[in-house]
Amino acid sequence: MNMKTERENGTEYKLFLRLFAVAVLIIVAAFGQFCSQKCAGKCRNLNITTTTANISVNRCKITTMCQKRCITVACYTTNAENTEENGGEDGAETLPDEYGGFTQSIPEDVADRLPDGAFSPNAAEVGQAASEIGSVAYLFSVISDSFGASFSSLLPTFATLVSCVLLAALCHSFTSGFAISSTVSFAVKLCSFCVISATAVSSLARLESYFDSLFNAVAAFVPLSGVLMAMGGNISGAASGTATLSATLAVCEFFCAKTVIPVFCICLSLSLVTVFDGHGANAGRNLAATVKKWYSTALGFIMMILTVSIVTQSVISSKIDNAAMRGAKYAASSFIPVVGGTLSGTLGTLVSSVELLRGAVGIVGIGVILLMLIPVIIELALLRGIFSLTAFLAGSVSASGEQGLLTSISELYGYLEGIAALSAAVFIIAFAVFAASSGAVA
Amino acid sequence: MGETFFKICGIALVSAMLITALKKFGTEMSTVLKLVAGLVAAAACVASMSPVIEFIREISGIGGGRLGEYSLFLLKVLGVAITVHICATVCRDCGEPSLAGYIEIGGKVEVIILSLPYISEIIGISVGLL
Repeated sequence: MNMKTERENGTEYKLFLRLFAVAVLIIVAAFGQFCSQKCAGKCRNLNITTTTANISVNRCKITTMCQKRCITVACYTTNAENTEENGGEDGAETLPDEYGGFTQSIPEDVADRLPDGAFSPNAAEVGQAASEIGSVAYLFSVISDSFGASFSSLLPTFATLVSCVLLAALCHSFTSGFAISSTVSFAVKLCSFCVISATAVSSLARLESYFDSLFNAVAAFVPLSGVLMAMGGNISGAASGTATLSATLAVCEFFCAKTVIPVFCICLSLSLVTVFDGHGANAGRNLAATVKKWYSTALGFIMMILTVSIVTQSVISSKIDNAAMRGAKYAASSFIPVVGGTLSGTLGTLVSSVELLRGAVGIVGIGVILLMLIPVIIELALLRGIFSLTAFLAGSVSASGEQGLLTSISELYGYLEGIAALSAAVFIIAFAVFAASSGAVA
Repeated sequence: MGETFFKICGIALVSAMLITALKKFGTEMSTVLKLVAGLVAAAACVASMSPVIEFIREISGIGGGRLGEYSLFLLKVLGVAITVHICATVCRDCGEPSLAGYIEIGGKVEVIILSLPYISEIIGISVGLL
């Protein structure tokens, strides 16, 4: 019985909010129209015919400003309604549907490592999961698990490479005095190159799947960030943030997913020269190093521009939204003094709850990126170590061609590590800016 | 393993002394003995390689199919190289260095033929990636 009464009260409250939103819209639009007419009239009275164009411009500006304020207020009132509508028995808030889309985009292996609360639509549980993700113990457990898993999975690769190098060295030393030793040496190097490069290329599939997962997760996060920004009254922030994140995603998708592996393959092909230890060995190695350096520098520069764009857009749009909200609140409190005061209190509560949601969702997003990145970085670092170690072994058993190739590939893994970390860092910064962004408060 | 090696050394030394002694009586016998001793020593060397071949086969099982292929290729190349070396040495002992040269060319061609799949694989990798 009591619940029914509460529900009826809630319905009345929603109706009141809707009516209030409509009233504010009408009043502020009328205020905007009144201002523009007033300005135009003043100009006509002063016989300033040349200012007709300026009046039109001003009118447009005022109308746009009024529309923005109307939208902001309408958003707040609608959010208030949604927040109440989504309220559970304990008063907990529910995340928007876009959060479900984001959690569905997370790959299974990452989802298994996330705390269970991260998949709940309940904001409080997501907040708890976010605090767990942010803890040092959790991150170290992820690192140790990833290290253990990668180490055990890469042991056969290490055994293959070591065996390959030892057999090649055996063959080289056995046939060293033979008349056809140079041909045998060529064939053995060719074969060991096939084994080593096949091992290196097979590890690229992991990197490709990492980029795919990362971009899918970020693509699913874009609408969620827009909704949460709009819920906090950051209309400009929602528009600019979504656009900037989408642009960043598109640029990263092009540069990372479509060019990293071809550049790796070009460098690998140049490393082939080092296997046959001719006069071009050093030239090939230097050319590969130059390609890597140019590519890394270009990518780093682009990522820096994107990061700066994300941060500045966030700051500027936040200021614009705050100014718009201040104006809207001023207009509301001036025309409807009593309800305007009530609205101010409601808005404060709403903004803080939406900020909480943003923080939790942003940290979960960062956690998801870290959970994708950490295993890849560890795997690449271990592969780099394995190739360096095998190169050292090849050097000590006088397999110089294999040593050159293994060293070149180990250097390439360092470059891949850098690109993987760089692509993730941009999105981590974007998510951190989103999580730290405040709602539009006057 | 060690016994075979010492047997080979013994056969080689005894054969060398006999050949030196027989050279005083006539070169034909010494040449025949040289060939027989060389072939016996080579056969003993090849026979003594069986533990090495077994070891390579064992290693090939560690890394899966790829290393198995690699070790099989290495065994074939080693086999060709040893055969070419023995045959070319025998030909030189018989006073036929030109034949030895042809055998060596044949051996090189055989090694190149064996490595053709790997050349095409490298080309395939390059085309597939770029």
